[in-house]
Amino acid sequence: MQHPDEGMIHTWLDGELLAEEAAALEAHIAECPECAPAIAEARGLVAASSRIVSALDVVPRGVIPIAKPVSRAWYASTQFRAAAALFLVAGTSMLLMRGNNSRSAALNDKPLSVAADSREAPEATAQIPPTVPAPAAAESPAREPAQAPVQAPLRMPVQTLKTTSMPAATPGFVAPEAQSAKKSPTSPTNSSEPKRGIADSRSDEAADRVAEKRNLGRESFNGDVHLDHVVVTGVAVANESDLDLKIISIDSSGATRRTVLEASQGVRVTLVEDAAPGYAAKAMRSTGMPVAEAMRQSAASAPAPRVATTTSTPATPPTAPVQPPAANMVKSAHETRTIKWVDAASGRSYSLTGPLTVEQLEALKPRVKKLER
Amino acid sequence: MPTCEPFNRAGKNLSDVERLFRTYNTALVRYLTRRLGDRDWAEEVAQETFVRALRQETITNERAWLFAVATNLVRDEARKDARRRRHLSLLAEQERDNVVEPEATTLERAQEAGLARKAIDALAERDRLALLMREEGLDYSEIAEALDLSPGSVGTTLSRARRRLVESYEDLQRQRDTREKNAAS
Repeated sequence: MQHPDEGMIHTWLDGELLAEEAAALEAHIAECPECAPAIAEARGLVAASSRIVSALDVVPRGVIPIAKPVSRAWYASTQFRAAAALFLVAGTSMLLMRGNNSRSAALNDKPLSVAADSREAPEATAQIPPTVPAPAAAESPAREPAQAPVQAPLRMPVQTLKTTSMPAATPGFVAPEAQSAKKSPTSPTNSSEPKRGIADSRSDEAADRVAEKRNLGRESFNGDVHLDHVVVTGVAVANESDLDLKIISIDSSGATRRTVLEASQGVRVTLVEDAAPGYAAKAMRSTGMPVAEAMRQSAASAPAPRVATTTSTPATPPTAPVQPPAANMVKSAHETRTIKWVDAASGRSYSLTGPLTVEQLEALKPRVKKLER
Repeated sequence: MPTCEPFNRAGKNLSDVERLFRTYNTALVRYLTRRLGDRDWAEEVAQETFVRALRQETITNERAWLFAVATNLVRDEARKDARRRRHLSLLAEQERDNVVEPEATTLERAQEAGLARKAIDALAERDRLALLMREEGLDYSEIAEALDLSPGSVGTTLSRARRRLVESYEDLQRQRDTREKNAAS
């Protein structure tokens, strides 16, 4: 037998030779020393190739590398974003609830909740020309009750009193914009002297139309607050005690000192301090009861809400179309109320006048006293 | 009595294919993995191979036929039959437990695998396929049938493939050792 070739050796090692061929090969290998190295080499190649092929099995599943998570800044982490979103939702809800509570509190006889309507002020100022005067109350008396809540968010009423004759002072209303332009609390148009022309009448009609439109939107606030009607433009002040009385002007003439105070935005009251004792005593003599008590009783005797004649100022045509923003304001903005008291320590008599109810003025009194101190 | 097994129009019922699958899937996937270097791709081709087996009316030499079809599928990037492959995917899940997963890859084993891949890729296609089929236990006649070779040439093909593979692998090892030695010095 000839020396087997490499192919035959591999075939024999693989057990693929026929029985006769295998027997002949085995007989030759046993006698042929030259073929022994070839047989050994072939065995090594079979084993080595098998090992090399097995090394191919070290292949992980899915050779596509998994993308590393991109390292993000701390503020871009999912946890931070979730916390920020939660904070935003909670904060917005709280602001809405606070605004709602303020409005509810205003409807519950809390005084001077001007801030509750502050969210509507920007919209109102954008829609209303600042110089539009108010329709005279005498011209449309039947319209007044309906307009009272309507005009509230549009403008803040500002009452100014003539410094020379306080009891007979004629209240005037002026738009905040006009007032701020004039930079003086005593400068707004006096209601006793409106000489309005045709242009002013047209402005009145325009203001009425706007007021009617506002009334439609306003109705939703009589019940639940519909969020789709709410435009949050600011944060309402939750606690009205946070509002400090701001002194607008002080006028001292003789024994009387007259101080104009701004109780809240656009709402001004006048404090008259009389050094002469007995001012309150006169009032008490005239009514037979303490002045404040007389105020309360008179205020309770609606439908004519005018207070005691000595302390109530008759309604005069206002020059501003706006009424106090909240329902706890005086229903008719053309009246002012006055409360009086005597400081037992100093013997001084005080009178506080403003476009508010007697209760609101009473509520304002401690703050005025605090300011006086 | 007729069988209750679902019957394929081509003549092969599903139970036959399942038997084929359970018998040959492990070896076929390993062969294809070694061939392709990607286990997922290998399984995909293997499943396609068994789908083809379902269509085939008669298969005389099952293993040779399966390896030949799998080899041709790798070549041709055959289209896939998603519906039937889903059924086989379920079988693959069961069969996967029988596949001995390789040990955890270490750096040394990864380097060996890299060299082995280079060495096997350096082979001629026919030598490579014959060697891989032989490693999966196919006999010469099956390799000859799968690769359309004469039975007498399989021994020569395998001996050539083994020698070249080992020589190539050893060359790569020497080159690596030389690089590491140079890097160390």
